[in-house]
Amino acid sequence: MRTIAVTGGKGGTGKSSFAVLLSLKMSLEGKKVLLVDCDVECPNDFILLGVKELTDPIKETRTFYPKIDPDKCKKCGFCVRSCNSSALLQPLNEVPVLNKNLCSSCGVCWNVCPYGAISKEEEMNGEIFLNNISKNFSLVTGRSIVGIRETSPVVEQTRKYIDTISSDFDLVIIDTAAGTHCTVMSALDGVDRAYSVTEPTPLGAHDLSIILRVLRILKIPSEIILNRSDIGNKDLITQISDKYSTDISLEIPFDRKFAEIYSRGSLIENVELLKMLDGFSLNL
Amino acid sequence: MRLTVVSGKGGVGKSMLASSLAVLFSKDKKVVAIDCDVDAPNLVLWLGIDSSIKDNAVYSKKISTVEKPVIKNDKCINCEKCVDVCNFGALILDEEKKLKLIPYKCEGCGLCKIMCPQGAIEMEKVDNCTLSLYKTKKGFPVIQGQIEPGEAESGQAVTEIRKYADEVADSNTFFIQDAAAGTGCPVIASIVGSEYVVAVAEPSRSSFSDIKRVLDVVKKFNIPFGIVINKYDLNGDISDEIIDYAGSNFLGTIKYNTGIIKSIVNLELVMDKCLDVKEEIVIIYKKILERTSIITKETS
Repeated sequence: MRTIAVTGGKGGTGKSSFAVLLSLKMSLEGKKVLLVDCDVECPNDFILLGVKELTDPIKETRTFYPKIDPDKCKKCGFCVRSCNSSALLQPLNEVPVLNKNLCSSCGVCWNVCPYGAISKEEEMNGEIFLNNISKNFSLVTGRSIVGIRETSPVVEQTRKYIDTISSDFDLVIIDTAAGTHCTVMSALDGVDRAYSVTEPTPLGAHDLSIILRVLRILKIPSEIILNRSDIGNKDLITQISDKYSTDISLEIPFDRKFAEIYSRGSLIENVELLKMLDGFSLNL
Repeated sequence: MRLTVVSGKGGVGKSMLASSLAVLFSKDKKVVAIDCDVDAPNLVLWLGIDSSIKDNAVYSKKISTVEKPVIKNDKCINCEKCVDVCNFGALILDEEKKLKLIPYKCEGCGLCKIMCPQGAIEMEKVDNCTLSLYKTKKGFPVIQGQIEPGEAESGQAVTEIRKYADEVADSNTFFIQDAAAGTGCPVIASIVGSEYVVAVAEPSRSSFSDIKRVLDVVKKFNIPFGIVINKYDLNGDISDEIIDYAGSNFLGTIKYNTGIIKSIVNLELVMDKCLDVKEEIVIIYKKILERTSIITKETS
């Protein structure tokens, strides 16, 4: 079983479309494919696979928040001073109050309280869904609860869940969020290879150079997928490819018809779209 | 006044619209543009830099938004207390049984230091972000942060660059903020304290799904918002659905236009080069002006 990731830095370059089409192509070639949508704040792979709605989660993801027992609390303020996220506030001579928006669930407060007045209270922060798309092709989606600030635990728990089922598959394809922040790095953690999808604009080039630096730090071998390769200036991407010694392994020209199919949602009924991946083979 | 542009889904036109609105508002207001996408800041590319300035950035400095553990391996006895207690899996024993930090997983909470019985862990500030101020082609400043690749305190970095922006501003400054994609911590750090949010969608099922999610966050903060549909004509039916969803919060549309890509590839301003796009954005701008002036009146 191999695990690859589809990433890219910039949003809207075609990460999800590439991940979905690649999964479809590999499954039609007889591989058992598990696609994992780790863009937990805005998951869209299910839409591109014609799944109407995400229902009946197979698992909930959880986090912890401190709960202060007012009877045990001596109002010493030690937890407030120890909290590096400023999530605990203490009105004068009162029991500290939690600001959940700032809490990272690190556990400092319940570990340091000298009076054992702080317990941890479990709360759901996301859901994991499993959809069987075809005999050879399953989709796992992680989705955070709206308004949750720290979403990388949802990614990590989604990855942990797929570890329990991945031995049934030949190939795991992880689709990451845009950007390079902690949720993206949690999604990239330990993958065998990454494909960075970009576009030939100064924006694509700029963000590509950042994600390639991240991949280098994480020691993940990578390749570049150049989408909408004929609109813009390809030299911008070639320069980055040279600078980071990372090959452009596929160029996909712009196709307005594709944009229209994408806008309607499902890509999966349009098997002819797979010709966009002609000439591309996974480096396993 | 603080206006923030969001979208949930990336690549639908946030930075293009934020930069264009900044140009329009700068005509009669003191604008400071803030790029709140500290992972991959692009607003400077859309706004262009005043080429008369030699080193591009008028001001640039490394900032620290986090303290991280430094391990004193001579004191560490491999008891793994810190490994067990870390809620982020940021500490591991490597192949040689040496305690090692995985920096991007570390939130800097300091629990490891507190729990270490040997005093083998110290917390030290890390310069994890570069803050820069540029003078744009149109004269007003744009401020951005760039997180070091491999570091991860994006939300904190947004808060820090906003603090810096407050220092260069006065009470009449009109802040225009370009948020990152998504709905999580860097986006929330951008939305907090905004008086108006402009949400950009494109007519696709994916974008429609994502804009609803990010607006659910905006609604939690009770911030008034408006919706713009970019690439409107790619799918008229979904555009109509988004307009229905927007109701009285609908601001306007921008047609699919290859001129926008040409502008950015040539590093020219959309507002200077794409006059048909400009016309559409001016209509949106006027609506925002109307709505934000109501807000300003209500608060004053």
